[in-house]
Amino acid sequence: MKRGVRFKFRLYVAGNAPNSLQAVANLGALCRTHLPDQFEIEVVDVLREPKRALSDGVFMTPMLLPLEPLPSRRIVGTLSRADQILMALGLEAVAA
Amino acid sequence: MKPHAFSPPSGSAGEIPALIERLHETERRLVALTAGEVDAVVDGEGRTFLLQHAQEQLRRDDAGRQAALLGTDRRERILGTALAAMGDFAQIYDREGRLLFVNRSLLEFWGLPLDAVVGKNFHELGFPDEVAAKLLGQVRSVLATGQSVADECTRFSPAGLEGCYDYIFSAALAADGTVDFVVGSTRDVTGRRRLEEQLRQTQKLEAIGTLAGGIAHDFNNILAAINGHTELALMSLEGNPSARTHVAAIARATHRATDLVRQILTFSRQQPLQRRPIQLGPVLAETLTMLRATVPSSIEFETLLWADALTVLADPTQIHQVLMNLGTNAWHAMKGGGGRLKVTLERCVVDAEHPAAAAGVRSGVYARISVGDTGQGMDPSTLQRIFDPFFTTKPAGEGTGLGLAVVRGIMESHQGAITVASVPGEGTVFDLYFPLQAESAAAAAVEAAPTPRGHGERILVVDDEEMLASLGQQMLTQLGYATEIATDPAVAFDRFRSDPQRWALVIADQTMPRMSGLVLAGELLRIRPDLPIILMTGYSQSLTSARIQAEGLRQLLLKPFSMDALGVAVSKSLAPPPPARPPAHRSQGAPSTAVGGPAV
Repeated sequence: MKRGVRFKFRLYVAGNAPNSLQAVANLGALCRTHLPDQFEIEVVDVLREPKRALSDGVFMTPMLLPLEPLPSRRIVGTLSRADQILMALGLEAVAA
Repeated sequence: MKPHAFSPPSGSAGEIPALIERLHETERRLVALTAGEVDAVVDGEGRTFLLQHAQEQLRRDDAGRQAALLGTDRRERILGTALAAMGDFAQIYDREGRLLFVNRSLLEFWGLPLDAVVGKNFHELGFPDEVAAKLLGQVRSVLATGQSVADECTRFSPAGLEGCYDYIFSAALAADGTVDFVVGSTRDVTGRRRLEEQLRQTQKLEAIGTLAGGIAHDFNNILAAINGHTELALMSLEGNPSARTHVAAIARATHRATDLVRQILTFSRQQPLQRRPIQLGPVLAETLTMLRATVPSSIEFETLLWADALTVLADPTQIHQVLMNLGTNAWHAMKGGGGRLKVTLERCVVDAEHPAAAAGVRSGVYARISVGDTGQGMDPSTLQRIFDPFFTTKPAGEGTGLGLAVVRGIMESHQGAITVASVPGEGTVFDLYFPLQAESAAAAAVEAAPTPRGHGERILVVDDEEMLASLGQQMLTQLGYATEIATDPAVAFDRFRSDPQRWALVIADQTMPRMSGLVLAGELLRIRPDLPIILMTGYSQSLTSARIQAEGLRQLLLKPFSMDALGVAVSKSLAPPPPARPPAHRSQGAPSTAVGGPAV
């Protein structure tokens, strides 16, 4: 993993629905483990801010939008499999 | 689900990898959806549709989300801080009713460290047996039944003052549904209860005040009639000593009743202060005679009165009230056994060299009355609060908690001071300081002056109560005046207007139907500005001598009045006022020289 690089995520959730809560918890754990002090997570609740979901093209939750360092593949679901997510972020080599 | 507005593939060859990626992404979303990992979908208009399982969850506790976001240790820290920070006393009991945990508020309240508390039940903590048995019984009942218990108690500590405590014991259940432990929450509501009690007392007091004001006028009129006729009877009974004795007793009783009404009115603050130079010795002696009649003989009286006259500016009724209140308290402090009530009156100088026994007394020359008892005394915390209104050591319903508050109020209104010293088990001494007046001799002379008499001056008495009007007429006749009466202010006005110079003086009652005494006086003064007028009133919140004089009237006469007071008021009113009146207005009935007795 590259030092000094910041990872910025936007996670869309639906209130405290179970999958959303799990996604929040899983993403937090993953970042603390693999990207300590290098991450920023914005959680957006579609029940409160549906317009933002529309403008981001989000049509189901939970959905993770990796924004920085580069916008990359969106991930839907509870984010329970860390390896898949790291791969999607292009970090699989570092994580191994 | 409505399909999302994807832009349709354009078909250009360079876009093939992007299209493949989109296909994969869509596939992954479908997988997530079928795996039940999706909560909600958003349509093209921004409407959100929750899937079934998400809806169910959302109906559950909203705090769940926060809880899930928190780590276990952090949650414990937050809960611990919350328990410690809350003002209520939190407790956790084990299955034996012993304390497992007590929060900081309760530890501070008990003045104990946590170590000294954990593992003990109420008995082992040293709670009074009765309290401990009740509380422990209730904790055990929660353990046995799982049902919460809410109650209140007067003590929730091993020692200290009693108060009011609301508490609730609730069951915390284990996974198998049995009661695991009991959680207690106790709130100190002592202050709130006291405020509620004060509010009730204040309302009661207001009711008494209203009632007193309401009956005072009627009652004073009745007393005025009894008083006046008694005095007249005394005069006509010169030759019958035996009858005179009885009538004199009636007169004394009437004076007591008059005082009583005045006391009630003072209490409800509806009576103007009547301060004049008086000698404390006789007032004190008189009060002690009355007190002796009330207090049982097992209590011995010891009285030491200063031989010389000590004159102070005071309202004798209020001095009487102060001494009765202190005397009664002293007696109550000595209840359940004999004792000695010691009352001394002496002259005393307070200055830098001779400070008073307690702070709060300014330098000066005082007449000091000490009231001491050999009763149970008071501890410092009680001593600190004795002058607070509604503070009482007597059981509810027995003391009003007003006695000493009234005493202090009266002392303050006399520019005096009150101090107290007490030793538990030995007794209490109150010292009352009254600023000493210099002109003792002059005051004594005033007291002794004979009632001024008239020489046929014509006086119009206006009172809607015929009985009182005719009583006034009889008194004035005795005093040497010619009197006419009117019971209707309008009639009085017409009669006056027809011959304004006929009367030397008009005496009018303030409270009359259709036209008050003040209004009538105003009308009469318009016709004849130099007319002397006396206004009579039973009680008054707004009428004072100053106000009366501002209205152009001469005197305010408080009912019921004695013949002497009437004589003095009439004589003063007939005397020429300080700015000389034009002699042209002098008529047959208003000779400026014919005033009996010294004008004071």
